[in-house]
Amino acid sequence: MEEVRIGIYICHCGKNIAGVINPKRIVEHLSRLPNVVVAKEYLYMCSSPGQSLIEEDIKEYNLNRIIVAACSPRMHEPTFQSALIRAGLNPYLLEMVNIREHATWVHERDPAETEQKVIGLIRAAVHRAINLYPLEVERLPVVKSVLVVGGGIAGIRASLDLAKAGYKVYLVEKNQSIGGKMAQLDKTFPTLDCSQCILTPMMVDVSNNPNIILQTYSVVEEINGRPGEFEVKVRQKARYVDWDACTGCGTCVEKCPARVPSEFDEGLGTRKAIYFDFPQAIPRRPVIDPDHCLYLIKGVCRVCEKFCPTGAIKFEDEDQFLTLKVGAIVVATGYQLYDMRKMYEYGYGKYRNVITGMQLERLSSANGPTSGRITTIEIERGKIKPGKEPETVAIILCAGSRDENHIKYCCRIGCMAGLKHAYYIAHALPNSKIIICYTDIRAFGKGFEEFYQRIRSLPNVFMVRGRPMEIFENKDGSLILDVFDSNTNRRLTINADLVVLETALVPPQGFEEFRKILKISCDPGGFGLELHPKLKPVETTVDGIYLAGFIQGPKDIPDTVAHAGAAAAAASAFLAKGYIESIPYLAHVDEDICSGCGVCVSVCPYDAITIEVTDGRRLAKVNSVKCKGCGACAAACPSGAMQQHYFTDKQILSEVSALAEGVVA
Amino acid sequence: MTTEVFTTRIVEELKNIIGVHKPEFCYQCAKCTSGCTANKVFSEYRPHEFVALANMGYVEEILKSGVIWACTECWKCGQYCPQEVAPVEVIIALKNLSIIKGYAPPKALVEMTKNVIEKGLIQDINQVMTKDFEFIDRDSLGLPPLEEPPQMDKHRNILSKFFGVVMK
Repeated sequence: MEEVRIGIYICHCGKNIAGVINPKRIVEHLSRLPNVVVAKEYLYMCSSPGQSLIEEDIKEYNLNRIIVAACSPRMHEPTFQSALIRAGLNPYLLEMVNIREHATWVHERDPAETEQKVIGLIRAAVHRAINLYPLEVERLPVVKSVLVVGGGIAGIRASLDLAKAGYKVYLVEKNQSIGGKMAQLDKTFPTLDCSQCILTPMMVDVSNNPNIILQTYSVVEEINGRPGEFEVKVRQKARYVDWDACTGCGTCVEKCPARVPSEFDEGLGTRKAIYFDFPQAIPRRPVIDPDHCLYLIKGVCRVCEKFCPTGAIKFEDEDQFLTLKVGAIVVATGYQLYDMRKMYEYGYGKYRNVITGMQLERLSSANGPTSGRITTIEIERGKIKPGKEPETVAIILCAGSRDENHIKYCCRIGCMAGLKHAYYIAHALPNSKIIICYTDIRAFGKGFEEFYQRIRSLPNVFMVRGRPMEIFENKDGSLILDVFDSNTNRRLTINADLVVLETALVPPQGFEEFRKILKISCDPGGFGLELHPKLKPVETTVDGIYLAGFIQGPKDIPDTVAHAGAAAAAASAFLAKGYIESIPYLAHVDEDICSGCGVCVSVCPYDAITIEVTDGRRLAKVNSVKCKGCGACAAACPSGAMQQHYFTDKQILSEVSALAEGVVA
Repeated sequence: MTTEVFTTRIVEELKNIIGVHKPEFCYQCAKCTSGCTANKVFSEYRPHEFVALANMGYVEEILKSGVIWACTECWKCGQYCPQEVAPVEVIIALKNLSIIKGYAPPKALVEMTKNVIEKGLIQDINQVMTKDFEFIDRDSLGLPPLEEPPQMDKHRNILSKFFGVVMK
């Protein structure tokens, strides 16, 4: 075995480290440690001259272990590893000691003790370094295709970008059509351009792009494999229509006798049991809702089948399962509205004229249930009908948001949406009065403040700074609410024909389960957690899985589109070079010691270990593709047969006993 | 306004009485005042304003005004406050602080307390006047005489102690 020759480099990190301890004094101490050939200090080790210093020393002193005592390895381990590579040394012969976050930053009031701690940590690192050995990084191939989950504006944008870059894209959407929430909107703030007019051309682009395979009315059930080579199981829900035979003529929809509240119209309008999500749906192929189809629930009807000119109705259709091989995954599952029935003081779901902002979007949309007429809501024999034109409308911002009892965070779009809704009403009904009950108007985006100014200067829009506590219903269905306006210090009693709640927005239904399939983390609001709040906004804790749009946290349309573009670029960069480098510090089994007890199998979160019988002996086997190097198995193994490269028992224990010696001495 | 108001000791005293609720979380949405029972009849009573004043250190000012005693303790603001400030808790703490600091509660409240100690009720309602200025008593309506509420001795004892403090 070759002689271990260690070089130690202490970074001043400007004053971050050297402002508390004296690196020169520490260097003197270190040269007495075993196998240490050279010890040096420098102002900024991470700088170009700092790195050169290490490279030159490796050659001059024939060093084969390098210890850098500086900041966190999360910060600069890759920097120093590349210096080792340039000097011809295996990068896993580097050991970093974090003397900034672990010492000088936290104990700056006691320099003498801090110095002792730094020396102790470096001595431990020396003992660990002696036991380090070179590790090889494997190159693993990647599949040049991407799965995009969710066909809203984020998924659409990400798919188009990835397809443009030459990747094959599978766009999986749970509804019949792509388009998402943006398709439900009438106009977009702050420019007030028509939402459908800017969205539908992109939807058409998706359907025409030869690189995009559109898989709607489908959900992701399972994800296996590894980054760069995921195996995705997709369930295509039974459509009861043969989409290859169907021409999308819509005769079936016209003839179907069963009417169901429309999800797209937020329950304000109806659709048929065989339906398109909305008239501009893409793909233009209908599905049958098995819970409401008269034939499927009662065994009578079959009208659609009778009228279909191409014989595309297929009542015996079943769920189908597909397996997709993709290199990366973009998660663009969007959001849903918070269930406002939980905020019972506003009576949503109980008072018919208390509606959500999204319901107002549907009332205001030309393709909505009232063909764009904003009306109150009447209920006749259990069915929702448009009522009269409202004279007074109250718009309540932060309904459920910024609320410790409901949703803690700001929805980030309610202020502008509320102002936009005021515009819809003021524009359509110039004689109406619109009262916006706000707490703070957050007009942070481009053009937002100008939009706020435009809306508040409308003659029939009144801004009230206060939040109503309760809403009461009059006999005629109109509403009465008291609100204290802290601008005028007056309590106002509003008789409103319609109340619009700018609701809190939350992760979509089922995301919690889907997140577990993806094995990514979430934030306290339940949204997907990005790898770094500022510097890695689309990456997740799993390589090759990226977040796009609202699912990372509340966003308006421009931010969603920008974020989706970033996710597509990140996925593209991940796959571009055609291979990924494996993590070298994986678990491995010493087959001579392993008794096949299987404890490792039960603790492995990645299903990477199996027990196999070889020559009549039970042995644990690690799948190096699935293993993420978490170390759970190595810690759990009762015999020490399971070891993790770079964190072997020998390496860790030598480090610990060196530390303990320091304490005893 | 001077900067001294921000750092008065009385705010700390108040917060100690308030306990777990956090008046400093208040973002002045005024939901409390919008639905306040007392504000409906007494417009000077504005819970969100007391929270803001207390946060700024104007505690003595609130105590001197005596407005806090208008609170009916219906607890609606405690229930619906979006920031768990629960203005009612702040108001109750202010009432307690008011007594500790020796401010006398309003006369009407003292009268009511006296009535409760004597009769177990805030008002002696054995006789009422009609719109035609006729006096009617319970007897003439065939109603039984009023009884004392249960456990009145215990309540009387507690109230007398409190009364001793406030009248001191």
